[in-house]
Amino acid sequence: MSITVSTQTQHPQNKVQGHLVHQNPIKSAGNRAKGLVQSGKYLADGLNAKGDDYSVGKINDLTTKLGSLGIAATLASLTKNPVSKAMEFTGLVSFLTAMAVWPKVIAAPIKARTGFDVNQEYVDSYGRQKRFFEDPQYLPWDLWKKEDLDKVGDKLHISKNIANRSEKTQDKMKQISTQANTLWMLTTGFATPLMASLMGNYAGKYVEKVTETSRVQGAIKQTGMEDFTKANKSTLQKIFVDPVAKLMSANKKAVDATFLDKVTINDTAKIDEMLKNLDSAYDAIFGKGTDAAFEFNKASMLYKNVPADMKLTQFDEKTGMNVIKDASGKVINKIHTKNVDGVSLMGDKWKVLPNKMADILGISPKEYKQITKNILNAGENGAVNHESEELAEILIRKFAGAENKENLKKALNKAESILTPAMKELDDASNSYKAVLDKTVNAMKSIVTNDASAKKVLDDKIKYIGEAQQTRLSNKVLNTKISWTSPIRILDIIAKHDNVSTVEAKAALKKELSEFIYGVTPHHINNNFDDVVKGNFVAPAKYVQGIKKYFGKLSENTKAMMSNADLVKNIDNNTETVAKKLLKLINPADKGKNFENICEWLGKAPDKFLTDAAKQNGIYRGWLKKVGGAFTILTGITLLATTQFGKANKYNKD
Amino acid sequence: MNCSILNSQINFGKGAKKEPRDYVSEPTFANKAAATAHTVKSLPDYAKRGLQGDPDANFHEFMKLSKIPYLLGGPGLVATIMAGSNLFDMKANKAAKFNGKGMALGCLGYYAMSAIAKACIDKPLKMFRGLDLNHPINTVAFNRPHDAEGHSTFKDESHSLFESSKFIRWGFVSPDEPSFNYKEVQKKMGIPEDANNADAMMRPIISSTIKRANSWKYLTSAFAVMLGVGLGNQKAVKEEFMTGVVSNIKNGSKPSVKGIVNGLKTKVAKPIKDGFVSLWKGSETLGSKVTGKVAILGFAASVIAANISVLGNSKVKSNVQEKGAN
Repeated sequence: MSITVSTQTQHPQNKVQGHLVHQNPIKSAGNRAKGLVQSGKYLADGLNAKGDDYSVGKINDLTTKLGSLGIAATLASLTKNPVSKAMEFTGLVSFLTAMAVWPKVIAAPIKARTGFDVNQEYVDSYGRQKRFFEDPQYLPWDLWKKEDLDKVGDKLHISKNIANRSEKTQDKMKQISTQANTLWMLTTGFATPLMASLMGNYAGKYVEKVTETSRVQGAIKQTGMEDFTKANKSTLQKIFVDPVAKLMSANKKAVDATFLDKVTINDTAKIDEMLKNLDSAYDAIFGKGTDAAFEFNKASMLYKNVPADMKLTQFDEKTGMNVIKDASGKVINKIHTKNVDGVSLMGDKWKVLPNKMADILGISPKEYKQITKNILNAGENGAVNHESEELAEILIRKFAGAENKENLKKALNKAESILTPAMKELDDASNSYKAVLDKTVNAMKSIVTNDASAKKVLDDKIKYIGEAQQTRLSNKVLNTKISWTSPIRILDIIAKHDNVSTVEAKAALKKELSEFIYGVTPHHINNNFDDVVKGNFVAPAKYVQGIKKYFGKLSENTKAMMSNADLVKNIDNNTETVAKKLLKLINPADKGKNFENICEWLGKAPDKFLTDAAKQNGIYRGWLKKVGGAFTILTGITLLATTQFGKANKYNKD
Repeated sequence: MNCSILNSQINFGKGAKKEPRDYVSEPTFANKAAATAHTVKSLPDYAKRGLQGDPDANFHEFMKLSKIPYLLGGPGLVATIMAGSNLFDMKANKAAKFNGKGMALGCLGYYAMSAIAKACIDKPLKMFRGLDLNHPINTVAFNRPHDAEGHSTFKDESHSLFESSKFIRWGFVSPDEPSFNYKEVQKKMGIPEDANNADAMMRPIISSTIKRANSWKYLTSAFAVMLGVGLGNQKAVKEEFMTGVVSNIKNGSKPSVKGIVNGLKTKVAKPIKDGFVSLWKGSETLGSKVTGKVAILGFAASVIAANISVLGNSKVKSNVQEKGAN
């Protein structure tokens, strides 16, 4: 048996052919792509027993990427949500990028200090690209120019006077590269998942924006509307998001919606189609509702083809959802209507704005969550839940009284600054919808009939389209305590009670505030908002005016602190609801109905999106803190370690 | 014969008679496990010397260190998901834990299927050709000389005899090496018993088999990990796999034999079976109907093709040499 020869550093016997690789990131990315293609060839060779250790090893580059792609595709196929699907591939890209970037993070400070790159690559005489410092026992130093070695020697402070300066430099470089390689192996197991998560997190926001924008554009195309939103978009959105979104929605065909000249009451199919189109336009702009009862009723009323599962369903009061029951009345399946608010022009405002508004109150997500608790269980005759009293107490401490006036003012101004641009968007969105509405109204003008029952059917459909849509929207913006404006209402209540020095005054404030927080019920519509809310100001395309009218009714104290005078100007336009408009056409004698069920709607929130938003905000912050923190610590330790590389130690005596 | 302690007991310096040497061990489970254990025990040493830039640190040590990130990466991903839990929201907590479990099972599936993919090629090869691609060999790596007489310390490294397709220690692939069953391999490769150039016939086959097998292993792994992760994320698996087992143990319920068997059936075997079925069938999305089948069929096809290719090409063709030709 032969004895192994020492495996210490061997200098290649013959002069090594090849050259070091100096590439900019773009070229090196191109090289990577070429490398993958090359790996494919190596795979074909390897399966036929051709090639060598190097080429077979290179197959791994390709198959790991293929396998990862397969994983992403498999995971993407498990979810219906297009954003989640896109996120799987974003995650894949993030992971691969993180794996590639981390060694560069280690190498960068080393290069700055020592002048050479521990990830330096070279091409050998066979045209194979390899890392120079991969194997410390085989370093083809012939490939390095003497001047480059001297430069490194200078930076490493190796004395210029010694004879074998090059060798000493090379030894030091070998030491540093070994240290860097080891650090890389020890840290990448932690760094890659952390970095990938963080990158995926931020990339995800972009992906979400693009995906949703493309769906919105598709939806707009399919309702035959023009895209009124161009004016509002930021430059960043126009450059980075819109082109990609346009590409993604290219397969949706633009539709010329049917607006007929002459329609009779018997043309039920055409009428249904026009109303359906109107409804789709609404959804495309303002977002679908997630109220199970609403969706169910809408489907039964409006659409001839109610989805099959909905046909079997009933609305269950107890669970507040559409359910399928068996013969004995037991619930066998719940039908979840998903929150698809994101897929609309205004969509993500329902989430984003409340997030920001929650911050204004300066309370934690847990506390804010309590504001929206018990929405459906508002008590009779002023019963108030003790949690809302506790929360009222917290808010009073923060904002009430003369000593907190500055805080109150700041909070109000912040709320305004957030609300104002959103209102502009809402205005534009309303205009888009108005265009479709007007067309529909014109088309309906020609409907003539004496058939009372047929008219009733049409009335009901119109009522659902018109009133319910408006109420849904005004809920989100205005009416219930989960709306955009509820933080301002809370602050308004506090501002109104500017004297809280006496016990009675404080108690009165606390009562009013906690009642508002607990729930807006038929018993609690007060503060002069009744007529505003119940009245007919909330016409389509006039939502913003409605908000302004609403703000016009805020207390004088509050108005004095608001910075946007235009926002709180009193507006008295009496505008018509959709329903009234349409109904008037059909029933000229009918003066139009009031919102009979508005209180019902006020008590119920279409969805607890604000609760979710607050939750997500809290969770997100906590997650970001943990993951971001861990990554920062790891990077710090790594960078600190690299500063010690190259120093003399037990194995490397200078 | 296991010589693992021999080398470390050898004295050398002036007058030393014995010297450390390379040796192979029989490719039994125990020996391979011992080799793995030796490597794992050496990792902290590799790391320590590597971080100090030991000039004797070599490529083998670097490659072994890469096992660390491989094994840490999976749990690392799970941890970043679980970081979203533990906050005051019960719903989100539950969601994070559920998603974390899915990720954890996916990672488990990844590691398991990676190993299974390799085994699906190695085991048949060993069974039908007597060749174990993970045949353990212990090599002695000498460090630089530390004195004027040229003495040096050394370290034991656990390698596989067939690590490389080119640089194979043919000295160990011989009838004289007790740990290598040369005759069995010769027979199973269809090399005539009395052939006088058996080495010349066997060596190219071994070389090419290594290249083929490794290539097929890489390709099969791509499907295997897709299968593993897909399986781990099936609803049936996420909900049922080992659910409640940990809490049962924490509650102090004593596991009886019957209980363990039952547990294996309901908490392990059944969820996996259900997972396969649901992965194959796919769910509501169109994509899932395709990806599940691609993963399962791709993996199966790759394993079958690999074995046909590797086994088919590792036997001498019968028309190569006639027996008794003069």
